[in-house]
Amino acid sequence: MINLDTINKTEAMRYMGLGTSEPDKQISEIIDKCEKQLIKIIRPAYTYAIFDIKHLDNNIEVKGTPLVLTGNSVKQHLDGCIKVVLLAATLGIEADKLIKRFQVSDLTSALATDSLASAAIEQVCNLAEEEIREKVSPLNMTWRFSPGYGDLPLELQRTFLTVLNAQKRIGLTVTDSLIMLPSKSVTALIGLSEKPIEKRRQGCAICNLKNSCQFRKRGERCVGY
Amino acid sequence: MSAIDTLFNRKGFVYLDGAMGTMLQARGLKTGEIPEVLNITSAETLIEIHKEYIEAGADIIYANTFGANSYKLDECPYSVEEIISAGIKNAKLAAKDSSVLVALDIGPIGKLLEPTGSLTFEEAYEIFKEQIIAGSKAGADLIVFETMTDLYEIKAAVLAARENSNLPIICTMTFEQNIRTFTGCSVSAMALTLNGLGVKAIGVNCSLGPKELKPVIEELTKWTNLPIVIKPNAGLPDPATGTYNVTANEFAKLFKELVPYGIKVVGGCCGTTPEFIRALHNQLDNISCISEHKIIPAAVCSPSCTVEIDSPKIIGERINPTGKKLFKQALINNDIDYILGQAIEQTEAGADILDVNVGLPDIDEKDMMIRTVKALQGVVDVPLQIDSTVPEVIEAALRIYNGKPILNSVNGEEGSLNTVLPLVKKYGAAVVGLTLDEDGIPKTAEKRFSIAKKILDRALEIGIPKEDIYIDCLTLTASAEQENVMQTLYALKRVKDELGLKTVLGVSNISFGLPNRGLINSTFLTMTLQNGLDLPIINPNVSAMTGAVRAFRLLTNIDKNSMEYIAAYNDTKNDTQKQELSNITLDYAIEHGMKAEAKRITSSLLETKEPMEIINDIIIPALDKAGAEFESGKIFLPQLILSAGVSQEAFEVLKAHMVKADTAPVNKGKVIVATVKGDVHDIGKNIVKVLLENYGYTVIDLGKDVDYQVVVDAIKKHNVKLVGLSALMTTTLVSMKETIELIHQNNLNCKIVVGGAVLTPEYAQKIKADYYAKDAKETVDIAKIVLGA
Repeated sequence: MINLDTINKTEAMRYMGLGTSEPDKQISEIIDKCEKQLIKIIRPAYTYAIFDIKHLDNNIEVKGTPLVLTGNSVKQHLDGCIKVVLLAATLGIEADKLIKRFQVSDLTSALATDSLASAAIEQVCNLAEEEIREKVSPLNMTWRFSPGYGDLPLELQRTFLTVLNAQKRIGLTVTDSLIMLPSKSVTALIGLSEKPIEKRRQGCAICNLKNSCQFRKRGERCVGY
Repeated sequence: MSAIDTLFNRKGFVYLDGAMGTMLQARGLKTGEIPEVLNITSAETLIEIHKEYIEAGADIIYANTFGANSYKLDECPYSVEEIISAGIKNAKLAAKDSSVLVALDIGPIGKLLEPTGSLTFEEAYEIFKEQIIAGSKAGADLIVFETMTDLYEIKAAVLAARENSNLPIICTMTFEQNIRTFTGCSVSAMALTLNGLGVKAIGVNCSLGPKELKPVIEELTKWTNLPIVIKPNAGLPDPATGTYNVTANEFAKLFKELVPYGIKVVGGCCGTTPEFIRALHNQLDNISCISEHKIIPAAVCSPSCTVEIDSPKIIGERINPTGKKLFKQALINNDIDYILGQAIEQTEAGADILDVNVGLPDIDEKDMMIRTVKALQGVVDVPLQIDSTVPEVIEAALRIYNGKPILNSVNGEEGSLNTVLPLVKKYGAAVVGLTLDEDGIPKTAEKRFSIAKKILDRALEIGIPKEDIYIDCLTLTASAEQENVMQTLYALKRVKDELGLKTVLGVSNISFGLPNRGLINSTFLTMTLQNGLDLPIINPNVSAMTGAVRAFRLLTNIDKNSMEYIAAYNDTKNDTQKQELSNITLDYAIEHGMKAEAKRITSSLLETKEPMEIINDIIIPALDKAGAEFESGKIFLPQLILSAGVSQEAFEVLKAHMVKADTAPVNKGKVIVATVKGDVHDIGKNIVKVLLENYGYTVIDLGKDVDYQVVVDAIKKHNVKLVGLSALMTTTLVSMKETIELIHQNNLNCKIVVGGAVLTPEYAQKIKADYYAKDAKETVDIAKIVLGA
């Protein structure tokens, strides 16, 4: 079982719209209280599988599965890779329930918990990545790339989860409108390469949300570098 | 005797098969492909695998129909019926000339059910129904529901099976190492719920190996007398390679350790092969199963919360419109959030169970009950007590309740016994029996006792277990029938001692018509507890009442080391200190997020000011200031919401005051808000809602995942001039566009404001919205323009 002892509050506060400002005592207390409660109820889980890939002209085939990765961005992302790791992670349904409950009783706590949960799921992915790194060594890993990034269609989410048997393994499902439930969940693919991977930045240029991004409006970025 | 009864009645174990997926993958099935299609395209392979399991000694084989439902097969060239009948046919061919039984195997649908997911209980029922009809028609001998993680889904499945076939049912759910399923369902909740739904056997499958499942089985055996099924994985998988870590022999040896817990039906799940089933025979063939009849604890549950009635537990009485104007208004306005707020308040105050009564002459009680129970189960964990006298309402509520509820109530009248008890039996609920009959409430304890006895006998006759009957000896009003008050207590004691039944009692009526009602109530409560009351129905928000129960639990050595008591009252000192400290104004409280203060100050302001004065002169200016500071970046969203939350508290006080004084409610115009179809993110919409309400607008909240037509209908019905639509996903922007188109097609004189993370002003214009709001504050500004301030 995976346990988080703390949640990255700096990240959570950015998601809350606090920017980089120091929150006042009252907001800090709410965040601390929500963090404790969230840590107590979440059941983080992840699952992953490693597949060989075949680079075709316009897309990439994930061998032994019906999954075909289309678009230029994933092509670039997996350039030079020989395998791909499919990763799915979730905080579990309790996080959704807690946020919902707070939406009735205390909206500020709802916002804080929602943001904390978003930060927490990234931490769970980082833990998964550490484990994967050990397993696949000496191969090199790309950063995590998710369906919906760039022109990698979100529509492959369902097949992605089926291939990982994600409902059975970690209780993760997707709705008809491609929203993952439990909602604090992430799917991502990581390329594995024999050669060192060129450090490419996760720029805003490939992001679908660049025109409406709240972070960009404030002159910030959603990732820490 | 049916074939399955013969099988279950023998002394030894019943053997299931092992994994199907593992066998198919070994024969080249791609990960992620639909394995059930092979029923048609590779029938020979399937027959071969079934035969291997039969040769290994399986008594029951599962047909390859696990995922054959309309959702998972939606892009498949074959229909559900074609795949299922082929699957059953293959298994039957393999089993012919043997006594082996063929199970229609049904797994989870693949979509999450309400309240968290979007699939409704009724839709899930229909999906299962289609599978069950196909399987029965194809000649399955029994139905197996397995790998379930959602209690609600398995309840829909079992009801669909019972109502559409006569086949025996086996249910297994999948638990993780924390002894919960992924949706948070506990072992006790599974057992309590399924015990009453008429299934043949229950148990666990998948997720873990036999070793890790031991604590699950240990727990399960406490909660059921049904045969226990265990079908574990071959240990734990290595995610990188997909291989499992337990060999067939180790696997089978581990089963031996589980025999004392009463396992009866054994088999293997992921990673197991015929070798594993053979190994099980080697280990278990010479051992007899242990089956002893246990008394199952009296208990009710939601999926995640089981309340054992082994000591006084509080039933909260506040979800009930009787004598509550605000509650009635909320029911008439479909204001579910108000009811949810009442529920959360009571559970935080210490309620263990909540009574739910939504009966009002002018509303559709059945529809309201269904919506309320579903909504409540989405936000509170405590079990519910369904409170209604109308059979249709009772049945609807028992049906859609997730877990095992209490039904309030049946009584000694023939009509009531004949209509209510069969429903209680069918849905496996616990029931409150009122000691009254055709002649009303008997004056004497003797007569009430005999009605209790009658209810018990009639319930036992139709198979409702004794531990599920809770008797209410009925509280009389002391001011009217003082001489009979003690009769209630005498009857209660006798029911408890002589019939051995659990008891329940509404306490608050005792003081009706008297001054200082709280004193009478808490004193009477203490007396009832001393006479053996298990379930007091009280207002848990009154600290003297909850306190009496807590103190009683402490003094009778139920609350060991006074743990609960100390946890409940440790902070009391600080609270009073905080209150004494303050000498502040309402606008200061709003600005600084002080909810309790705001409530207190608002109440005292009402002594000298009119509600509208308070709203216009204090609340709105304070919010305007917060809004301006938010816009200028001086404060941020959390602080803005905090201020809005405080104003909301102040508003509640004003509303209660105005309802009492029968003045018209504050209304600066109506606004509809909705998260569009397909989208389930509603936190942004809810922030907008609160802010709008703070400015005196009446908000009609249609919720999330709202159908286009529902928006249009609501605009027409309420004659609304402004509707706010929210969408968070690029995939649901389409729904926003469709909704707007439908509104325009209907030529409605209603402006549309849109918002949400992925929206831009340009896109808003493109989909023909009238306004784009970048945040909640801006929505209020737009409302002011459209509806006036």
